[in-house]
Amino acid sequence: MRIRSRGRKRMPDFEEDLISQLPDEVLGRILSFVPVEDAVRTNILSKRWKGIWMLITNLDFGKKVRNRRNCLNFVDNVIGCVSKLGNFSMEVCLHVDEGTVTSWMRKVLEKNVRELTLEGPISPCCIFSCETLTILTLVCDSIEDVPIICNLPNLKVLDMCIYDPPSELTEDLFTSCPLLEDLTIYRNIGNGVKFNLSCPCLKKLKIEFTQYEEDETECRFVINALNLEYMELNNINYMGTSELIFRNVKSIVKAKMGMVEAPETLMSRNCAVELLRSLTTVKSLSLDFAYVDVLYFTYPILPDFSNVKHLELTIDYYRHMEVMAYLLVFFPNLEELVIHECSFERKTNFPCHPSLAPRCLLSCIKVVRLVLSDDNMYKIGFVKFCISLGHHMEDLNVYFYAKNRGVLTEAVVLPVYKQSTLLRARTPDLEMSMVKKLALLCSM
Amino acid sequence: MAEENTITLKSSDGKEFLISKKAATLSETIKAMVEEDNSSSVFPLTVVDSKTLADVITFLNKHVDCGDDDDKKKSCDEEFMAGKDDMKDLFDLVVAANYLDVKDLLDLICGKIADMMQGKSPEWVRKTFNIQNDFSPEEEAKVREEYAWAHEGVEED
Repeated sequence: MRIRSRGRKRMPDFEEDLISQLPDEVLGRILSFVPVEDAVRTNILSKRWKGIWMLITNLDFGKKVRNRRNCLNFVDNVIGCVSKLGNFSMEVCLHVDEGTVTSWMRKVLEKNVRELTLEGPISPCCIFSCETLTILTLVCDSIEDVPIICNLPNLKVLDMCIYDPPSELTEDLFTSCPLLEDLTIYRNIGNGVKFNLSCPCLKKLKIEFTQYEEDETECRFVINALNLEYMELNNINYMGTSELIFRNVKSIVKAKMGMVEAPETLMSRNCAVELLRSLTTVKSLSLDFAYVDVLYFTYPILPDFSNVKHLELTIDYYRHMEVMAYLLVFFPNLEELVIHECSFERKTNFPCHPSLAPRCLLSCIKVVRLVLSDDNMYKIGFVKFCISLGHHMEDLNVYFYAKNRGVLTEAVVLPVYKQSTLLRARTPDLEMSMVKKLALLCSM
Repeated sequence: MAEENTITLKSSDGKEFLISKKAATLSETIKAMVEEDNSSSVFPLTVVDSKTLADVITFLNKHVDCGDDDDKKKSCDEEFMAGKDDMKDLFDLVVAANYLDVKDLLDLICGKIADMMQGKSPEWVRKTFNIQNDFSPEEEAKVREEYAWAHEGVEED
């Protein structure tokens, strides 16, 4: 097969070897985009190509690193030969020897690596001390059992998932990254673990608490981040004695909060409410089902969330309608309301009267987005409630997961359509037929 | 006003191209030239011919229009690469991108050339790119032996 110019007058250099005339650094860059094995094999193309592959700056071993002599030998050789690395990524299988991985990482860290991804059973400690790293992703079951020295002066993004991390790591690591902007912590459990998140540059924080912890765990997070803008806390577990302490967190713009389930004790519920109270600066807030449930149990007095323009709630229609109406009072300047509805139990009619809608909302709200789990008759009231939220509504989106089209269109769409200037109703498979019915209703 | 915001780039074969300063300085090399000498408005690029320079300028203008929108950049890049199958053109572009230090363009073209090599045997690569094997059979055997580790054992079981 020939890949040559078609219909161009360049006969003399038709067979010319153009690629070999490119400068070394360009060839190295090209080979950085080729899988490592293919790049190494270019070594035997010609004398010109001998050793060129060593100029590659990206090494991605993906899932290939298994405990076989050939494989370990290959990785060993490649890491040994490559002179300068920008990105390095590797997923180590369970049986690869700890010492081998540690010696690889030592070599990699000496080569000016900026982005490093390591997945495997154990994380060598040398990773926590590297001047050049800017992006680090670690997914490991445990950490090498030696004293840890943390020094990551240029790290900006850290994505960390370590099972049962030692406190000496969690207390020192984050203070050793003065430039850290984006932090994600997953699955880090273990009794008595204390996280000290003092990061003046931190803008984005995501903590995924563990969901499946049977024993009571004690986890303490102290978050001191003056410039934090986005915070996402998932599966907050107040069942144990987890503690979240915020200091100097005054610039959060967007917060997303979720819990495993609403805690049973009053004390834990109060903790959740307190956490919410501390978020008055946000412009966008999202609460999951369990969080709304806590508010349903406590009906707390909340401060005014006067900055919030966008609110997202996951609710049980039958259980949370009233508390939602109550809640909205604290959001006087709301413009966009998104409601995800998931009903676990079916009751008969629920008195969901438009008068439940707080008056203060009537002037501000512009967009309402509803995601309904089914087309139960009784949810008409729910849609009506949403319509009553505002006379200035520009956009009402209703996403149905409808089984019974008839109920849906006649009972829901008609009343909705009369009051909203813009309606988008959607079912997974019936979007078109809805549109036709709407056109019909419109002409009536 | 307009003159202040545009500069002229002159190709190796003497053709002149008008381009906004904003687009031109996406090239680190041009940026350095402009910073060094802001009294001139014509900058000669002695190693880039007019055909290649026209392509580079198209790329720069598209990227300025895209701003920071990565999705938009991606579709722009696809559009830019469509029909660019001629190897001579690709190599001219990659050399120009390297000289002008335009990272996005360099990565785009390098990725395209890399796609032609990926998963291919050395024999196939030689044939595709007209690379002459100048090793004697003995030399090649020696390199193969030296690099035995590269030719065994990384495949899946």
